[in-house]
Amino acid sequence: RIYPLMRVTLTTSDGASVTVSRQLTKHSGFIEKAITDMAVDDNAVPLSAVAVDVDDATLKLVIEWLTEHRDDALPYPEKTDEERRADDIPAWDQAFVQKWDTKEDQQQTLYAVITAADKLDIKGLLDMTCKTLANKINGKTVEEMREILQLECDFTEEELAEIRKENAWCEN
Amino acid sequence: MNKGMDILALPHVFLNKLMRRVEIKDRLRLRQTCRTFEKIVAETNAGYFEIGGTAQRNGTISMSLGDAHFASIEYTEHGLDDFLHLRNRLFNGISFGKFQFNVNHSDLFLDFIRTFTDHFKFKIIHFVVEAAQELENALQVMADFSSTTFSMDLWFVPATEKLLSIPPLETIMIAECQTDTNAISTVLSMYYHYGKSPYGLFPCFYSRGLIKNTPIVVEVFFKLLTKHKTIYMGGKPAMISSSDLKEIMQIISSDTRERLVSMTMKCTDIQPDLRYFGVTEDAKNGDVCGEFEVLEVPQEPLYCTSMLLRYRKCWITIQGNVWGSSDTMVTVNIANCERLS
Repeated sequence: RIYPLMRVTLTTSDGASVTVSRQLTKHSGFIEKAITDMAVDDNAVPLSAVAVDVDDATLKLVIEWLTEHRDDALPYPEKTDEERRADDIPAWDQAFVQKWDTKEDQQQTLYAVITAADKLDIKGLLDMTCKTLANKINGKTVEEMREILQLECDFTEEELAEIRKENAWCEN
Repeated sequence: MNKGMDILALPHVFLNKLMRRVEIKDRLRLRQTCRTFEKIVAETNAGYFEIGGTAQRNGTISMSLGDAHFASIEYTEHGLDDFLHLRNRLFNGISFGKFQFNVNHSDLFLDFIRTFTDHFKFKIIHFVVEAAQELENALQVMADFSSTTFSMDLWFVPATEKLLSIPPLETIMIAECQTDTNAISTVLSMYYHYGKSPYGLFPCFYSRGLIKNTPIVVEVFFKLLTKHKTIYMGGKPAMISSSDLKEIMQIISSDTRERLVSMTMKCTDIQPDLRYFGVTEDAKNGDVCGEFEVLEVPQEPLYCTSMLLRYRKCWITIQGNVWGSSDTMVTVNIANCERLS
């Protein structure tokens, strides 16, 4: 049972404190487990602070997403057979990702949110960010992929030629 | 916020999820970006695809996996090894809604399938079988994947004992061609590349004389009916009477599972049965003819029309000009749910 008015204080990796409703933290497997591990009465107010290995700026974005998704069904539905689909990102989520400043910052912010979603075990957020990145690279050329993912080509010319030769079998 | 992050530092659980979402062609390009991604591509699951399959022609084998088509290679041990090499570089597992094997008669086929499908998952495996030895190979593959659902297109009629030894199938299609395998290849090509069921093409193939009536006697047909959920027949079972046809409807009507029997035949083969049931050319929408209710009668133009009848919990659809002349082909669908009819 979750008490919507109950609040949890989260301490970030850079020393900040944020207090949020249990209605939001119930979507985080990590925070819920931490509260359970405290073995306190659910009615105890306030709870002890939960330390999260996420910086303040990223946690604010995570909380913004959680606030929008506070009423999402739990447990998060496992969609193993439909995992390929990436065109069903809600409009609010798309706008949420798009507003992240410049191109470079957007990518860095996306990676930071992905890492936070993994650490905090927020399956819905991990799924959404995964779809976002998949959409960015689907159908792109090798060069475009390197640019989007900020990768350096470390193949020799011979190695690259060999891979292209193997791929040609399928690409034709 | 950490400004120095790169994608390769992201959690494995995320990269695994990501690699399940990208298409095969994107995997081919990703493996060209850098050494690390080449490794990630090879060591991750490619995820789920609705359809995939192998096709064989003139001693070569080709393959389609999701959005990617692999060009034909020679059906030799060396050729197959090359195939396996690239598969191993592209993913370490993959799932399919439906995977079609055009079964080959050689022993190499079995070895190849067993090796190739290592770490593959299938909801339905569909076999296309054209000869007795191919059926033997298909049965062996079925034994290897005992927990999978199977369906089969039989482009010949096996000996009765062998036909009845086929394990329960989701769908079985039985038809014979009068000409060589080019006709079959054409049907299969349309089936595979355009996602169209070959069954809808039967009338057209009949009109060209490519498909013969299937010589399955009614006693054998009833045994097939108890075993397989959906049956498509390139013809009416031999010696089947109007009361046998009604018994088929009764069996399908009383089954709680979704069932369908589809038979393509000359319209003159179904006309006596309809008259026996009390349904004549004069029937109108809403008429009750004995135990049958007429839901829809043929409309102009007659060549693309259909008749819809209801018997107990069965819908009987007759596609084509049911009251046409002797060379007019129709498809009779008997189903216990409207969706299938």
